[in-house]
Amino acid sequence: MRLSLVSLIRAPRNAKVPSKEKLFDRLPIFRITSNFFGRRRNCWSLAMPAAQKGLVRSAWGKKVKGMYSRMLRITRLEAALHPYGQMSYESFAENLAKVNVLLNKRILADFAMLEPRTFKAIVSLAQKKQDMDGETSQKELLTRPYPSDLVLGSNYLKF
Amino acid sequence: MSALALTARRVCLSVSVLPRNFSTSLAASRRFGGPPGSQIVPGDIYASLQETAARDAAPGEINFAEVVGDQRRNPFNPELLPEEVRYDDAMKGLTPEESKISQDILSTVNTQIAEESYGRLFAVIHLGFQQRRVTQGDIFQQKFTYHVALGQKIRLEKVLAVGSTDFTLLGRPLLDRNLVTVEAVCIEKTMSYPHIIFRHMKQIPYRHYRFNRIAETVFRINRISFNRKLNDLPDPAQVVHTIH
Repeated sequence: MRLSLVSLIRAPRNAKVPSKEKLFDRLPIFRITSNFFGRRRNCWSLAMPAAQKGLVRSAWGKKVKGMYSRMLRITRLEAALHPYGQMSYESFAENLAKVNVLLNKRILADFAMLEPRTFKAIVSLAQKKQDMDGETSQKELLTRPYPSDLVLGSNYLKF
Repeated sequence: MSALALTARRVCLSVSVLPRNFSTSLAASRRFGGPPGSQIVPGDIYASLQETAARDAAPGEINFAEVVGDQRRNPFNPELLPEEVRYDDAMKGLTPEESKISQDILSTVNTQIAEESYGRLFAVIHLGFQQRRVTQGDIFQQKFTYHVALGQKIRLEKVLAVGSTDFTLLGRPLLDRNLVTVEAVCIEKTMSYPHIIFRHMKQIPYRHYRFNRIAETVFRINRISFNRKLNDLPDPAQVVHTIH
């Protein structure tokens, strides 16, 4: 905190310095604005609205954080599905839910980054289920670099 | 009932139509999140369920009515759960080539499990409405209090997936409880730093501050290990109620 008693002692004699009682009441707000830019850091009439706006914006950000993180994970999964063909994220999630694999978007995105082999197996699982239901187009089949025969058997993917 | 209907028309409240045998204890608990209407059993059937459970229970079997007070609120009551999904044998519709490949894979995995030569295992755990990917030696922090003493060991049973360098096992949706053990220890129980919740309206002298502190518990994972090989039937004495 840059506002301190030392700076008050070094101020000139005619400076407008608040009393101790006033400072005590205003300290919580100055602690919020201790890392702001310029006069909003130390001048009360500018620091008060700056602190209020900062707190209101942080509350808005907490509300919206879940939305943004969800969007980020979906874009990451869409990008991770590119090397495995033209499969869309919607069909990927739909087929995983049909097969009762209820892994999170967070976990799936981490697998795509850190465990690519398991992610490849999960994608091939969803592709196999899509083939069994007959919802793949010929166009999508041609774009697949790996065949869906990596998944053995179809008896346990019926429901 | 007519007075309630009049208020609903005027004020647009959400009024639910209650069944005849609705108990008052559950009505009080519904405010704080009781079971949904589909799981509330009417009184006539509830009494008969208790009788059948007491009559048909084997000597070693757990009677849920004795263990947990209200049978209707127990989520592990098999009478209230939907029908179990029993997947067919995966080896049925395979060609001879595919069956060979699957047997090779299972044998390699089982030898690794028997010799414990798989290395470092990770597990995907469901805890507190969150899924986490976890290994040995991990520390993680969970919101709200858990009624666990410091230093007390816990077994985390909702495992969605387990993996190592050479193989991963995916559960549909959960793996068998007796396949994997994930042991954890409670390290710390604290309160978080004060989150400031500030409410403000423009052009009005309204400012409201709240310093919100949430309880937190910290866990450390001691070990992850396999209890049995794949496709080994577990002991019937250990099985309480598994989700396949």
